[in-house]
Amino acid sequence: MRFSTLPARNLTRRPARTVLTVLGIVVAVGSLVALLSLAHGFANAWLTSLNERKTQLVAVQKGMVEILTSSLPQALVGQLRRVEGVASANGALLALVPAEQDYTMLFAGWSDDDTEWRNRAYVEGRAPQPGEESVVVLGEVLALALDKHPGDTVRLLYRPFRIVGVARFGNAINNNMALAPLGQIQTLLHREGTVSLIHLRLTHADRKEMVAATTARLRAAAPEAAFTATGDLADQNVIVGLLDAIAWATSAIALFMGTVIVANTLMMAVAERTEEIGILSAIGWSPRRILALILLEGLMLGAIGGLIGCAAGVAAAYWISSLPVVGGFLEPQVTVSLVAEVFVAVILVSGVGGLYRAWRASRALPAEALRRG
Amino acid sequence: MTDLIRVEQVSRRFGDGRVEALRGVSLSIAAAEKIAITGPSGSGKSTLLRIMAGLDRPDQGRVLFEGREIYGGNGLAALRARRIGMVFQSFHLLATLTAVENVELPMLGVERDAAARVRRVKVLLDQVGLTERARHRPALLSGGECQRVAIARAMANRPALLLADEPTGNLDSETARSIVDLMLAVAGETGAALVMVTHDATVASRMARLVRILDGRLQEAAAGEAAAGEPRPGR
Repeated sequence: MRFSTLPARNLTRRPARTVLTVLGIVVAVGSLVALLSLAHGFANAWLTSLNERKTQLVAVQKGMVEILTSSLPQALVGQLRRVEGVASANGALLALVPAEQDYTMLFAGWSDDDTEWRNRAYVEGRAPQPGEESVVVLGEVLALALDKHPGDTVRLLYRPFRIVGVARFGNAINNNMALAPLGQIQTLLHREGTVSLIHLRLTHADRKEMVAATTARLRAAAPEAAFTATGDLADQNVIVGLLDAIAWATSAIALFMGTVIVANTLMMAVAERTEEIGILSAIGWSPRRILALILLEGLMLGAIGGLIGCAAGVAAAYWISSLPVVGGFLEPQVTVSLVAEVFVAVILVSGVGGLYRAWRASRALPAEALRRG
Repeated sequence: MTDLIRVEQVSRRFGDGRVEALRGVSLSIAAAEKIAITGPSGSGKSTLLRIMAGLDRPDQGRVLFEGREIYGGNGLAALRARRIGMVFQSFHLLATLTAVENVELPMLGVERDAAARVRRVKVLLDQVGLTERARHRPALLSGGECQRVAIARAMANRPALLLADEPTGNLDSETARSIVDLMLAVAGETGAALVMVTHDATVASRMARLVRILDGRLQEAAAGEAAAGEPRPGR
C-alpha cells in the first residue's frame, strides 16, 4: 500500500461529492483557460493583423485611445510620403460593421494606389479595378463562413456589395475582414477625406538611430498624429487592455471559487472523518503525516479538476471563437506556459483550500477525535 | 523488574472540571506483565488507558515510558507508532481499507521497505488466522474478525506495550475467549506487556494481575475477584 492509497480511497468513498467538487474546479479552471487564451489570442491577432503589412510605424490621431475611433486627414498621407526616411505611406479606414448571418466584421478601405492590393494572394477572383463601385474583397475565412464567391453579393452595413475576390491573409482578424477601395468606405461611413491610420515603411528600418531620426521628423511634420512602432500598437490598444483586464479579473474570481470549493469539500471530508483521523493518530501517525494526507487529497482533487478543466477550457475557447457573433476576431492562443500557469495555480489553490482544516485536524488530541467520532 | 510504564499521580477532569475521571492515580507496569483493569462504567479505566497510550493529556501528574516523560516532548507520535499498540472495543478499522491494508497502516511511516511491510503483514494475518480474509474490507468481516485485524494492526511494529480497551465488549463469549487467547499469545510471543480494560470477570481472571478502579481511584485486587459481579456498561 502506498501513502496515496488512503486519500485516493477517500475520494472514491463519496463519488457524488468528489464528482461535484471536481466539476466546480473544472468550471473555474475552464473559465480561466478559455478567458486567458481568448484574451491573449485577441492581442496576438490584433498585432499580427497590423504586422502583416510589414511596416515599421503606424500613425494614428493623437490622443485617441482606440484605433477604430482615430481620424486623420487623408491629405496627411501625401505629406508623410515626402518626409526623409519614409519609403512608403498608405492610409486605411477601419470600421466594425454588421454583415449577413449575424456577423460583425472589420471593414477596411485601402486607397487605389496601395501596393497591398497587388501583394495579396487571391484564392479566387482579383483586386478591385480603379473606378469600380460597390465592390469588395473578402478574407478567405469570412468567404468560407458566408459561403460567398466572386460574383456573389454580400450586404455590409445594410448595403449590397459585389464580391470581386477572395484573399488569403496570415491571421484571424484579416481573414475575417472585408476590403474595399477607400473612397467607397469613406462615403458609406460619411468620413470623406479621412483615414483611421497611416501605415509607414521606412528606408532604414534596421538602423535604430535612423528610425529615431525619421520618427522625429514625422512628429514635426504631423503634430496632430501619434507615431507608434507597429509591434507596440497592440499593447497600447485599449480594447486589448480592457479584455486582458476583464480576463484577469474574471480569472481571479474563478480561482477564488476554486479555493472555496476545495476548502468546503475538505472541511466536510475532515469533519466526517474525525474518527479516522483519531485512529491514524492513535496508531502513531504524526501530525505532519496526517496534514500531508489531507493536503494530498486536496491536491488530487485539484489535479483531476485542473487537467479536465484545462482541456474543457481549450475546447470552450475554440467553440466561442467559432460563434458567428464573434466574427473571427477571437482566435484562442493556447500556449504550454498558459496551461502550465493555470494548472500550477489550481494545484496551489487546492492545497491552500484544505490547509487550515487539515492543520486543525492534525493537532487534535486522538482521544478527543475518537470520542467525537 | 524495571518499570515499562509508570503513571504518577495522574488526574483528569472533563466537562469544565466538574467530572473528575481520575484522582491522583499511580500505577507501575513491568515489561511483559499481563494486567487487567476493571471497574464500573465511568470509573475512569478507559481514561487511564488512553493517558497511558499517549492519546489524552492528564491535567496533573505524569506518565513515564521506559523512564521518559511521554507528555513532555515531541516524540509522542513516534512512541505510539513504535512502542505502543492499541486495541479498541469498536475496532476502529478504516472502512475504506482492506484487512491487509489496515494492518499495514501503522508501518507506513516506520518501515520504509514495502516488501518488508508486506512480509510482516502476511505473518501477522497468518498469526491471527485471517490469511483467507486479507482482501476483505471491515464491512465484510465479522466482529471477531475485525478485532483480529485490530490486534494484528496493534502488533505491526512489535510494540513493547499492548493496550486493549474492552476488546471483547462487542463479541460473544466464545469469540471473546478466542480473542483473549490471541492477545495473550501475540503479546507473549514478542514479550510485550498487556494491559486490558474489561468488565468481564472471566477475561480479567486470565491476567496475572488485576487492578480495580473506582471513582477515579485505583485499588490493587487479588486475581479472580476484582471483576466479579460488576455490571456491563450500557453502551
